[in-house]
Amino acid sequence: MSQELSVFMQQLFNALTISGVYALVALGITVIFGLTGIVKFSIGELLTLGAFLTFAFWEGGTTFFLAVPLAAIAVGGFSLLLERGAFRFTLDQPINGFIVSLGLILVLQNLIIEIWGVGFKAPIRPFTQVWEVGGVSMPVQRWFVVWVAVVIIGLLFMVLRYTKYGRAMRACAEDRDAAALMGIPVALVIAGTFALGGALAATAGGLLASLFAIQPFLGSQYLLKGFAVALVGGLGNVEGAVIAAVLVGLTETMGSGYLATEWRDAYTFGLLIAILLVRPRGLFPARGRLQETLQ
Amino acid sequence: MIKRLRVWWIVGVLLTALLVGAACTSDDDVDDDGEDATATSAPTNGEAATATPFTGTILTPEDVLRKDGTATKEVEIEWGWMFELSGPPQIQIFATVTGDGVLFAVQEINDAGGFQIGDTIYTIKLLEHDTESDPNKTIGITRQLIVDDEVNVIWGPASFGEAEATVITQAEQVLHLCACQDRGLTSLSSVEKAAGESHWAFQTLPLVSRFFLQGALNVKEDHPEYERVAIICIDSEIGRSICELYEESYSAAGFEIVGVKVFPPGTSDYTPLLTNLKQQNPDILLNFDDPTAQLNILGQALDMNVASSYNTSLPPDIVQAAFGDRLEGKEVTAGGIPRQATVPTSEAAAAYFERYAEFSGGELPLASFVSLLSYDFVYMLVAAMQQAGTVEDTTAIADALETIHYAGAAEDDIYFNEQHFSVIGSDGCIVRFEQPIECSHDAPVRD
Amino acid sequence: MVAVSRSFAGTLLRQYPPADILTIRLPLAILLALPLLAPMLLPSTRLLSLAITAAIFLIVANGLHIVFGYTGQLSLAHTTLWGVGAYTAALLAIHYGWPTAALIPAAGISAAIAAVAIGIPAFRTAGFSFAIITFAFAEILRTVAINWRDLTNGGAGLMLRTPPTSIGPIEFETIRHLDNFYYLTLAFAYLSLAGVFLIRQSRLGRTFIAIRENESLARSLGINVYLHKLIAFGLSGFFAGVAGVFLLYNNQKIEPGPLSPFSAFFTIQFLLMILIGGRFSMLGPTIGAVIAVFAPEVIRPLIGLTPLGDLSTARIQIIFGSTLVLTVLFAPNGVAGQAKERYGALAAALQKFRERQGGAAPPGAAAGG
Repeated sequence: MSQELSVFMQQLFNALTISGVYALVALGITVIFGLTGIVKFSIGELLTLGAFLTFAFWEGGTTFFLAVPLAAIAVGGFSLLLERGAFRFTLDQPINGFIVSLGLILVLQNLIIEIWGVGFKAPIRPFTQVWEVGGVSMPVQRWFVVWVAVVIIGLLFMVLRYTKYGRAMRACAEDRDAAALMGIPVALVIAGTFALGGALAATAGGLLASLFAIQPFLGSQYLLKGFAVALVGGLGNVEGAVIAAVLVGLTETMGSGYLATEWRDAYTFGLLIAILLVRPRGLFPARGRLQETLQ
Repeated sequence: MIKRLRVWWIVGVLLTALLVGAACTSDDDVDDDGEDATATSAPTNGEAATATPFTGTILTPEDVLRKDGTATKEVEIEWGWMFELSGPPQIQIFATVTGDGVLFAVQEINDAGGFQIGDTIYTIKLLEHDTESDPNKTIGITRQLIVDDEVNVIWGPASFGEAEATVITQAEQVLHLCACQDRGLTSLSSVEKAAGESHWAFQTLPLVSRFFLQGALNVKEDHPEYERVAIICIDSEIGRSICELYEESYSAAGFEIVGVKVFPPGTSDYTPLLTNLKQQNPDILLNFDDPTAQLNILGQALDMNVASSYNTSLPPDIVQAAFGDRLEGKEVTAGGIPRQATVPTSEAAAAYFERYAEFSGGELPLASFVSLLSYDFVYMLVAAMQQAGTVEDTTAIADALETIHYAGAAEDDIYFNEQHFSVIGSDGCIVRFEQPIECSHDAPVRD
Repeated sequence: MVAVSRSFAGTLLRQYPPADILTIRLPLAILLALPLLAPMLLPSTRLLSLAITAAIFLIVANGLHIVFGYTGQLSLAHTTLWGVGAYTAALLAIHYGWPTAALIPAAGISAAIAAVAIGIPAFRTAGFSFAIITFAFAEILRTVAINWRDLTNGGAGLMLRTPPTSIGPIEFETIRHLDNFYYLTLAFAYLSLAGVFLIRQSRLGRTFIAIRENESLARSLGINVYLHKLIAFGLSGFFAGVAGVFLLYNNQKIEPGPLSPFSAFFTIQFLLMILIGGRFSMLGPTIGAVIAVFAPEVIRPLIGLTPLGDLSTARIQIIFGSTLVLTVLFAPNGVAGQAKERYGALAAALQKFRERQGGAAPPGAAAGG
């Protein structure tokens, strides 16, 4: 393989990993928004919580492979509690839900600092091997993250498409009142979606804890990128979020790799502005009542 | 929401600066009995300053605390003390421990019965404030300390609001000491440009640029086979300055700079840059950012096998714990300023860490070595007051402080250079696969 | 000036129907006059410095109120415009020695121009897309402030040592003459408040609110929604730019760092100020700014008295965040909205009481708030 090609393949691999993480965060944001119209900013903190819980379980002797699902379940349950305790009162006023999530950022971020302290935690790294193929270095850990993301996204599609819950969720997203009239337990579906969004973010956090050093402010940068991804893909659209995650991951990686790195955020946000100007509702706008009123 | 961690960068620089030099020479230089191993045997090419030992009186803590029994009065003086006790985590750790150094020294001086000038025994009261890492609050506290409390001395802060505070203290001719990162590269010169003078400001962090060339020369001597250097720095004022200093020093030492990359704050995935740099086949990878970022850069660079030698300002024990068997066949230089708590390189430092552990309730805090960036300078300030014969005339005290040489815990001969930067050395360590951490001390490059 | 104050008072009266002068007008007048006494009442220079910060925040928040509160557009670039004003003032003062009186309109106008420039593409979208586009522009401007080093001096920022131009014998230097600087800032804070009131009362303000309440309806009534959104954004930018001058004088420095106007931290803090204060009330941003600056000063010692003892900042933040969540859940219209409701209830009760006493109701008292 020529050197140029192997460098390009390397950058492609780099982009793939980060796209996987962005996709998981964006999916969490997008399913919650699609259903409720609430932009849940505190999902960034749920990601951090997932990362730190994974670390805590792992430190307590659990293997990493069990620690991530445990953290996802715990955070999913926590997210469910938040919906029951706070967000369900804001369903008719999504902007209030947004504010509640801003308040929760403060609470969760500082809770994490109270519990785990202010320092950083080194990455967990269950796989330390690095595969070398044609001049491309591929840490097994990164492959693992990519595959976990792919499997989770695949499962999510199956659930949304073929299960009763998925159909109920799509029905609620299109028209909540009509869904209620059809006998769909709307409140239950919404609560379930919050749990799902929280679990997706926590999974992303757990995977991040295996790639990078984590610290209590981890969430905000992934939240903003995840949010940009969800928006580019069309808020509420699951397939769009995945495609947009790859697009943003590629822009970032190729921009940093081949152009001046210090302007990286300008590339990403420039792309975002350009896309939203041409297609104000994102690349693949979701259908539904909420999208029409909010976008 | 997004809070960047700035102050560690300068620590990073300092550490990194001497690391390469100190650590690469450590094989032959480290002394078994823990005495100072001064590695200044590097070739000089005219620009690298050589050590010219000071021949005048070097004061000791005993000199400062000595009383002749003739004192008739006791007076308590007030100093301002403001640090980032809350706010972004890594600033908070750094600032708390730097502030701790002042608290510890003041408590020691007061416990020893204070200090004597003429017929008066002075004890010190610190007016303590938490700046909450907020420049606005820092400005308010500075104004209050100067206008309401009429203090002549202010310690801190470490990073946030430091330039803002310095403008005020210098306009009001208040002695202002801090281990503040911006002061080195930007704020003092900005204050001077704006206000004309900064006679009363002293920087207890050593000036970093002087270490770079020495470090580069040391590496060249130890590893003549290394030729190509790649550099990545964070996109901040200080990060860019560091990159430039790296480039200048390593070019002057005969290395070829094969790649320089600047990345925006808040990066976790460095693989795109590392891929780009790896294309240039570097032997050495230099990097500069806060500890979390360094851990990520180092880990990803090791995975991608970017270079043969890496350096980081992370404490060496953290490097060893984090990377373990991934260090096989690689060399990582690591360490901290001015003395390592884990492997102290002088008796004075070892004794200091023992006392400091007791002061902090039995256990050393995280990044405890940082307290040495302020501890000795409290004694030096008192010595300057004694020499000037006043605790009030700040100009006379500043004049005296410019001439003081002091043997403290961090270094045997500490002083301020003409630009009011402290002159102290630094510990560098080397971490290798399945080998004990080796640390050695590089004496400061003197004027 | 008389005309302004008369319509100012009239505005107040219309906004808060005078069921009883004692329940509404007097307390409000005292509340609004209280800041004039701050240098006498506040026990330390540190607290007076905080009062200056609050006054500056208030100007910024009032600007945000026009675009977010009145027009309902969630701008995440507002604090960046504040920074644009500060940079403009710094460059003009450092390189050309402009006096304060010239800096204030210049900074305001430059920020207004920046706002319109962002608004022209951004208002082609709405809702959260608009919010994120403004955020993207804010991030790009921050990147420019860091990387256009010839103009902005990079991350180190610009430093200004000269105090505001003195008016005759009155000096505004910020250490020894902090009182004067406070009154100067406060004067502009009052002006910004008056500005917000006047806009609310004008045809323009009613148009803004019509857009917020129902954009399609406004459009069908022949209102040029796009243009009015741009005007609102430009006006809000003007306020932010003016506040930038005071930020520059207070800090003697402007930089694009982590706690500067360019940080996401401030973007969110200002939104919270308006939401806590009440986004449907004219006094909302004012109340929010004062709470944001002074609440920690009050809360910390108060908690110190309870068994919780001396709290770490993390715990204070947890309490602050929980309070915010609870406020939104139980008082969604913010402090001002809540106060209005309570006062309305009180006034109604007084009214009933008086009717029962056989007294005639004062004219106009029945009009609802």
